[in-house]
Amino acid sequence: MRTRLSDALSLVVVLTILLFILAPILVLIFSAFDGGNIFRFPPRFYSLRWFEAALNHPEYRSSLWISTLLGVISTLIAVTLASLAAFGLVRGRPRYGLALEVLLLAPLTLPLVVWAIALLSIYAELGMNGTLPGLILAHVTITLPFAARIMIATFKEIDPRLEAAAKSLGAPPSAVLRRITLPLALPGLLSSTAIAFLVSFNDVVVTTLIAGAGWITFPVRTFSRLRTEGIDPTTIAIGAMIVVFTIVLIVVGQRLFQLSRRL
Amino acid sequence: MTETPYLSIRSVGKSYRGVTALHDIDLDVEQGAFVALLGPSGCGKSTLLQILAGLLEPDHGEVRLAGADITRLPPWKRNIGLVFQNYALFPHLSIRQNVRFGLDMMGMGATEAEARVDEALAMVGLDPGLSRRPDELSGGQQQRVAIARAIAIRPRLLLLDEPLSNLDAVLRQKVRLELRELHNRTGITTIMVTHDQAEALATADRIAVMEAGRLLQYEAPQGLYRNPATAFIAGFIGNPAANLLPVIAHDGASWSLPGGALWQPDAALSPARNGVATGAACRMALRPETLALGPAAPGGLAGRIAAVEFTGGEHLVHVEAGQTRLSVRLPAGTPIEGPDIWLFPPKEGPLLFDANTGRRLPNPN
Repeated sequence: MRTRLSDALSLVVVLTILLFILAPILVLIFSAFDGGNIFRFPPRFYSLRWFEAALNHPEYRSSLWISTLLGVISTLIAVTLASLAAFGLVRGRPRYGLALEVLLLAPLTLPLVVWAIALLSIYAELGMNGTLPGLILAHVTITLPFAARIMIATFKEIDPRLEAAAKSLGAPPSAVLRRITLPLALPGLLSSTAIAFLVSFNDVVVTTLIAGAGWITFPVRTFSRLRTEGIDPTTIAIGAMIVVFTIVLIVVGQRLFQLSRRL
Repeated sequence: MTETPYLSIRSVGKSYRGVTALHDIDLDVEQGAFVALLGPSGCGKSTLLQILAGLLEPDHGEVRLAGADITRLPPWKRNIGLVFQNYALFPHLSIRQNVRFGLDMMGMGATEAEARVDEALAMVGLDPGLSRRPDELSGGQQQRVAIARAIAIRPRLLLLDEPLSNLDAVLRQKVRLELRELHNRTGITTIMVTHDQAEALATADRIAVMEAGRLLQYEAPQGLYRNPATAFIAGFIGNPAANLLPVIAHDGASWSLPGGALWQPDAALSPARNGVATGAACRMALRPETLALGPAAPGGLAGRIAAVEFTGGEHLVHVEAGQTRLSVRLPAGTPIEGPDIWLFPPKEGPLLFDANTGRRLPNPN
């Protein structure tokens, strides 16, 4: 009896928490279909006009493009660097490995504003403010710790004896990497790629300070319009599209992943 | 013509951060032999195995296989099969792909490789049609796959690292017999690392006993059992292992036992006959199966029965003699009169060891 009651109670708690977390997303998606000129919930009548407006809006289109470009390039660089660093730290076990690991993760502990202001003055010195390479470099640095964290955990979980066994079966280091280490690290690589891209795509603080007028990313654009014009239904439509796109990506990824494990 | 050994290890040493894991090991293995590296954990046996596999480079010394120096040869060029204690099966590959891995690395054609996979799986008694993932198999089956994977490449040497210690007791007995049978069939020179003396005695042609980075003795199981080189080996080999009785030569004819009691044994066992000076401390190894029990008589040791264990075919009698405890193995059905009893060691060739160095004292004859 007692366990029944506590089971029911914990179910209620879990559902409440889930509702609390997911409610804003539901509101966002419903509101996106509202036909009115201002943000309201629940919607009065449904239309697709804001989706149309979003897709035709040149500023949003260019901002989305910039965010995607920036996210892809900086993610590729960050995940590559993070994987190499993590592999070296875990397998090479260098003398000051722990110190290096802490250093690699240190940017996580610093408030981004503080860090961005420091970067701004360095960039001013180097003349890199407002340039794409400068922006990419900044995004690589904010995404790298996240990717490194995941990759360090990933490589720590791969039993070095698997690599030793492969070597004893005639596999030179390149074949061990290709046939054993990389396939086993794939889930970690995928999740660090996803996290790094999201961190880059989400960033407002660093980008606002570094980017200047030339490279306005989607969240920066949204944020500035919010400040000047209040909630714009176009951003809501874009937000809804991003949410749907992410859900599709997760579902497909999960399917593929399950599938790859079954093969 | 002197024949060069198939595998020869010459003064191989290894230290980790100033701690010596291996002191100048010398070891020869004949082609087709089954050798056990036996010792407690931390004795250096696994380090030696890793040096043979090429996963560790020795600080000094030389390893030669089939006449060639392989000391600095990388593992992927050695063609040495390796089976880990945890099997180390590739979790992302099917069982057949695991067994085929080494063959693919050789660049073997698909038809030939598939035939070899069938052969290796059949050799270890697994169904070649097995199409599952390693994590869906039991521990015993996983180990068979690991062995099949290692022998599929027809290695020049098969290295087994504690192959039985992850299995339960019943399976362990079965698998150790299978390992020996597999070796008889394939004839692959095999080196097995183990901490279990029963495992080594049961499977190996020769046993290399190691302690604290040194090779203590390298001998066939019977020889090791009959003529242990040190007190450590005498107290380690056999089930139960030899009783080690601490004795001090009281005079030429008698020993003093812990607690001060005097024991005047049969003349063959006396300090004088064995060249032990009065006052010297020794340990006498008494094998449980060579001790006899009986009523008071000259040459006996007085004792008192503490417990009797019945093990099916025999009784294991635990006797308190002075301040030490000795175990005695008697065939089942032997009448045991207690609790006060006398112990009689065999009347020739005692195994005596120096109490300080642990080394065997030379037999007088």
